Amino acid sequence: MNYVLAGMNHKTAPVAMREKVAFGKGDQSRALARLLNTPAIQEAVILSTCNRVEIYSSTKEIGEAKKILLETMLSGCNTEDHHTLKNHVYFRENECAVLHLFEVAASLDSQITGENQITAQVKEAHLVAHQNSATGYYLNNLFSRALFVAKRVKTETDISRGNVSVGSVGAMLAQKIFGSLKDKSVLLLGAGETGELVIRHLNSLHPKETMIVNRTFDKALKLQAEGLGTAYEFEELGRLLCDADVLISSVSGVLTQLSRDAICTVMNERYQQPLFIIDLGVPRTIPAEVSGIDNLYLYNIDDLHEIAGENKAARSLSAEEAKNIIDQEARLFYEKHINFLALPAIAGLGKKFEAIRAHEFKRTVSKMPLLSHEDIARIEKLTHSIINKILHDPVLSLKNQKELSEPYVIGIFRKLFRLDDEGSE
Amino acid sequence: MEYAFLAVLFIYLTAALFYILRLVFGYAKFSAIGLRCVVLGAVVQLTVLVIHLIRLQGTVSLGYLEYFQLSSLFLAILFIVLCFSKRFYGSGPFFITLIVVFCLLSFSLHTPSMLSQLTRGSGYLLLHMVFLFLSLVVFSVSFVVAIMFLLSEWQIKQKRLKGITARFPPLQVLDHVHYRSLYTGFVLFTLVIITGAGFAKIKTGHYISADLKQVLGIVSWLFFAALLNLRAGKGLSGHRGVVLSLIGCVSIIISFILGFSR
Repeated sequence: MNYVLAGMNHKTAPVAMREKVAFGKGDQSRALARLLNTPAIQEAVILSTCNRVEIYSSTKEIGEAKKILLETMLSGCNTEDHHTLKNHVYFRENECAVLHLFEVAASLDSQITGENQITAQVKEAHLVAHQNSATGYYLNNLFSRALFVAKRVKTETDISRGNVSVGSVGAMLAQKIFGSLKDKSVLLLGAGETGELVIRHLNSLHPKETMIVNRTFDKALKLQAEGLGTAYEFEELGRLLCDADVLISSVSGVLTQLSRDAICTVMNERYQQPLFIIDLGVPRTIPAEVSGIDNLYLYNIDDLHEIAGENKAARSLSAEEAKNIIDQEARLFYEKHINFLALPAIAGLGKKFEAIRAHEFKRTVSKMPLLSHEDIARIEKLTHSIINKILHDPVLSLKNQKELSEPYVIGIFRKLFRLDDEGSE
Repeated sequence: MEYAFLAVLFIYLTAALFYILRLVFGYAKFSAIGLRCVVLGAVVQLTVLVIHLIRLQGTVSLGYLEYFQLSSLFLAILFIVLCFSKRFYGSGPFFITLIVVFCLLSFSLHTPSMLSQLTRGSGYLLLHMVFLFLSLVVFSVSFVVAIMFLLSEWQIKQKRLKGITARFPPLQVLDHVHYRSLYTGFVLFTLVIITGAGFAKIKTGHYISADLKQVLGIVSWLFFAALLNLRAGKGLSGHRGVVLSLIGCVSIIISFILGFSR
């Protein structure tokens, strides 16, 4: 049994192409059923995320399987796109396929190395295939091991440590200052794209209230309609500053409400309760000297980028460590897999030789009626011994020599001794 | 019995070793082992202390060995509770140092024979000593958490989120624990002053004398009363409040040392 995968990811194709081959949940069930209807594919799993579309399969016919996997991948696209899309599809077989899945699950092949989402997506893809009865011994084994390896990598290395996007760094800092945001209010000033990104991360921490203020009230209302928070008139900014614990300033230029003196007044009015300000504006809206005020923590866009950059660099270092773990695990897994593949061939060979021996022994003994029971036993022992001696070396080689345990060699071996023929034993 | 207390010290030292390994190598599993050692140390220490106190009953009164052992046990329990309730794992090196210091003091400080005799004869002095050591522990916690707050705040202000402080609890949690321990310490310290004055009245006929230790104690009490009032009324929290509380803690520690040196 071979592992074969066909895929397209963020490295090989732009998003415009990836979205053409992406599978929705309903599409996945249909595609899995279609794949299993073909004789070449024994098991299949479809992994479809925003960064990759991959179909994993177990098969006896690698060439045929590749053809079917490609057809399935392109089944949802126009025929005129097929030629272009084909050039962006990659294939992996056996050990390379195992290694690839381990890297994907451990988030080494992701756009942001070490992100946690992909492991859950791999788990989900396996679950969906399992629910559609599209997985069996081989892919179940492969996917459980991939998830185990992902967990090992995350535990033993720092690959997932530290936030690498501006939004998540902002949220991490808020947590570092306040702990839980459940009783804290967040104020977004301005409707910029980065501000929106940061507020989305902060909202994932479930603050008590998210307030949105913009010079153009309609834009604030638009963000309110998206469920990001409650829109307020710009004139209310002074009052809202006293209530807010986190301020995301996404406007540029000078604002009188955010001068040093105004912020000092705000701090007094709020009884020196801590205030965390993220100034995303360029040029900056909040004067830098404000950071000297007690209980006020000021970060600007460069600070957030710097922290994210440092974390990214740290993750890259951990990626090398993770790669070693994955290489070792993939090698071990594949060795066990091919040993497992050799076992039925060895058993089949033994059975076949035993059947021949028993048949020939019976035929010969029936022609020699004068033989005593002791002689018959001696001859039977002799035939057993001959068969065992003949089989000893090939069986040992199949078990111990890696190159002889490769699926294609096992295939040749089975054909050579006609182990798959009905009634051959 | 001293060997049993030495065994407890050895367990706490092992915990300290794992916390040092955690600092050097950065593996979280070391602090997990360290915490288990502290739990084991606390259980063994509690058992040893109970046996020791049962043996002592009716023979001699409590001395520094017992008071400091009780204090280190109380501190270990506080640390374990904070770890599980407030995720105070990063504070291990600070707490374990204090626990070890209390254990070492229990062996090194010789109990004055006068204290043993007086304690036997006066309920006031016994209560005074118990509250004194309890407040010492609580103020120590407040002191440690205040240091952690200042380090953590400094790193956040400097925008350097690395090293040991990165594993500290959030600033507001530190502030909360710091002031809670300060309030508790203040209540206990009030009881220390009341029971101390009661004992002084019996012994000398006066509630208070011009003794430096007593004066410093009362000044510290007034300082904390003002500080806690300002926090409640004017919002004296965060950096400034923590620095002021550290000054108060230092004056209390000095008055304790003056008490022990007599």
